[in-house]
Amino acid sequence: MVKLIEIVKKNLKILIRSKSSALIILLGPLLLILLVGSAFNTSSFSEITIGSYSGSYSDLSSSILTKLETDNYKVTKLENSEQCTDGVKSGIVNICIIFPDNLNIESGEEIELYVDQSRVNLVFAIKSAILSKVSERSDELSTDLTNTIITQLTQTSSELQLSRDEVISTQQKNSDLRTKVGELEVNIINMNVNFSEVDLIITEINNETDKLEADFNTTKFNKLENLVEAMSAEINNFNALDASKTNSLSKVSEINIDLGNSNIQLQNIRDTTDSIITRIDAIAVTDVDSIVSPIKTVTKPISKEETHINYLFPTLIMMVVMFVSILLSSITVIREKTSSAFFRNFISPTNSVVFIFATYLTNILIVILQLAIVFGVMMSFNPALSSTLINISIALLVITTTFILLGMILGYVFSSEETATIGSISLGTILLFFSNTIIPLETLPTGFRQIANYNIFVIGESIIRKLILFESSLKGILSELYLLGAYILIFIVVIFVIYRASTELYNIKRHLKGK
Amino acid sequence: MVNQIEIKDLSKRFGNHVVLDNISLSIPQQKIFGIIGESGSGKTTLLKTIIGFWRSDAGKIQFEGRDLEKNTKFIRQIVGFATQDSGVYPKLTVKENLKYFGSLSNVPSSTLKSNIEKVLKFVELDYAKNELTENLSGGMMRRLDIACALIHNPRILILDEPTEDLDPLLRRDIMNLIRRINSDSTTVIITSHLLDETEDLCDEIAILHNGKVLKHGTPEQLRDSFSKEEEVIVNLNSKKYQTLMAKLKNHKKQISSMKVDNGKLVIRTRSAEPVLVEVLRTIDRSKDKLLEIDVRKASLGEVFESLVRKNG
Repeated sequence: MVKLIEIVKKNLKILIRSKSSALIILLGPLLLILLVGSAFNTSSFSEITIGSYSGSYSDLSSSILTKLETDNYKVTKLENSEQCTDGVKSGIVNICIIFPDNLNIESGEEIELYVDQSRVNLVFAIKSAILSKVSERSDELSTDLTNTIITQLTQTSSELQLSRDEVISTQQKNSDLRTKVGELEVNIINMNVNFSEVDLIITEINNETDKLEADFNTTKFNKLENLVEAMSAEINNFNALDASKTNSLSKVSEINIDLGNSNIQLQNIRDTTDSIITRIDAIAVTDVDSIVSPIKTVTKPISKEETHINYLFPTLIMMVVMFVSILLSSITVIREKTSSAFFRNFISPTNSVVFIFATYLTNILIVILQLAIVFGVMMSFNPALSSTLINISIALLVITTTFILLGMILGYVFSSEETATIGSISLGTILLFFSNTIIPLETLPTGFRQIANYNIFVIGESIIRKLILFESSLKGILSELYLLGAYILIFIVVIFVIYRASTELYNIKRHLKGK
Repeated sequence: MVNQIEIKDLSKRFGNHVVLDNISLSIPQQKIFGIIGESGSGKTTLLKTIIGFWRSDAGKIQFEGRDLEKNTKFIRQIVGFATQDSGVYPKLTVKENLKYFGSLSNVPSSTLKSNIEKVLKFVELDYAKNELTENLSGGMMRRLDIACALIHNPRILILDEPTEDLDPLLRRDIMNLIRRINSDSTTVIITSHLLDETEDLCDEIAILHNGKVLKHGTPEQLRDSFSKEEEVIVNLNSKKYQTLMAKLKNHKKQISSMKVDNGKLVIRTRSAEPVLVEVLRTIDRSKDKLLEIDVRKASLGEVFESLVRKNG
């Protein structure tokens, strides 16, 4: 234990007394946090320059540009489309928007956006921001159009309702009319226009008159016979009534049929009107906003934070932890290995395990000190961090241990400080590249993505994000901690395997070089 | 005489290059044992192999009767080692270096402080105990290195080229320091390619060449093994040696060679006494002024040179 403390004390003294090391160790992370903090302590994009071109700006295209300008985007109108796209290539503008000439909603033409896809980290954000602004203007236009449609529909519905009432009223009147026509028909049918009996009676009268004339042999009955004949002639005229009756009945029947048909047609009109009204009424959503955006999506943060720095903090912490741990531990190991005092350490009656553990302990103490500074600064911005500080500390201890052991392996593998530094930075860069920091892992091929999921940086970042942003418990990060635990075990075994071999190999190289 | 270290048939190679070839040595207790050889002869490798820094390819090493392989911890506890490169931390003070290496060598905390004071006084660095090591001069650095090797009171002290790159005054200081260490019953093993100082300092010397021990013994034994002859060196004021050389031709049987070297007459003889008498008599008659006359045996340098030549 005394030996361990002495070695750690010695390591710390050497690091602190080396001015450059002390500066990097103590001020480096603080400077990094302050720089990144001040740079990203905002929730929106600024200084995004938009180049635009249109052969002829319409009200619509101008309104889109105005909307972008009101959101503090710098809009530059360029003279032609080539200048606009070249502006993106040369970085003068971040995005180029080319509007069709006289853009209007009827034309259905497309607005072209040109972005520099090589700026992977920025392009999605810019595209999303610009498109959201264009989409806002598009929504406004849709709202106006939909408003007109809805108003027309409502008006049509109420007019149809009035027409429907009139149809019902006409139908009623028609029905009444049919009833009356029916009654008329019955009346006509009941009308007796048969005068055959009168003919028989006239014949009888004539016969009786003839008999009387014969009996009385007088002509005095001639006048009566004339009257009877006149009456008979009149009665013959009445006989034409029967035909008229039949004709009238036929006409009434036709009217009845026409009325029936008319009623059917009215019913059809009524049904159609009802159906149209029902359909219009069935449009449950008549709110214009709901029609324009039937499904509303609101992006809400699952954490309480609002500025970029809070979202970036887990990544930032991981970057500090990874680079400092790997670099520091590899350099500590290599400095010890190349130190002139290494031989004296080696031949002292002290087990190599003590040296290895002391190296780890030195590094972890330094990283803890750095993290304490970083968290101290961050907690002044975000006091809520203190609630999860214990969990974060446990997680960071495991993460830092993993990176320190990895760095120590590099230190034992490489034989000079320069190569160890390059190796450490390269390894850190690879780990960083295959994480979500530079490009989303989802964009990688499946095989790479699966491997990248075992990236220590990815695992660590996931743990810190869960703890800081979602205030997860230790249970929630248990699987990741187990994975890091497995890494730690593997790294310890590797260190013990390569320790003796690497130092011996290095000393042989040094010995032969000395010759 | 009890041998503290026994080395038997020790071999070590780096790749195809044989650095130590079947070396056998016995290093006596409480003596100063010198290993001399040219650069690259295997001196440092031999020292680092016997302490277990390099694994030997063949052979056996025993410290006080115990095998190195099975007793590494014990052996490292009884041995102190100072390399030709200073094996200390430049960013620690003199005292911090001693405290650190003392702790590593299991010196109890209770005695560590007094050990540091004692060692600092012993190597005459107590006035600079709070100095950063990087600010020390070459001689001070070498003394600190030796102090670090002594902090745990080792029974054996190994010094690899302790006077390398030092000026003659500092070299003499270090030599005196080594004598004082040895007088404290510590066995000292020292390597050097400076033959004169080794000759004066060491009780026993091994001559190493191309990874092999060519000769091993006391300086006297080594000189005797090379030649029984002595050298009579005469330095006359006139630098005219013709008369003297003519007179000495009468002693032809005793004199094997005569030559003038750097204004001095060097006479090699099997018996110095009659030659001396004749020289003094002749000078007295000639009235020339005698500046210097000396009789010495062959130097270790000559022995070494002769052996190296013989062994290619």
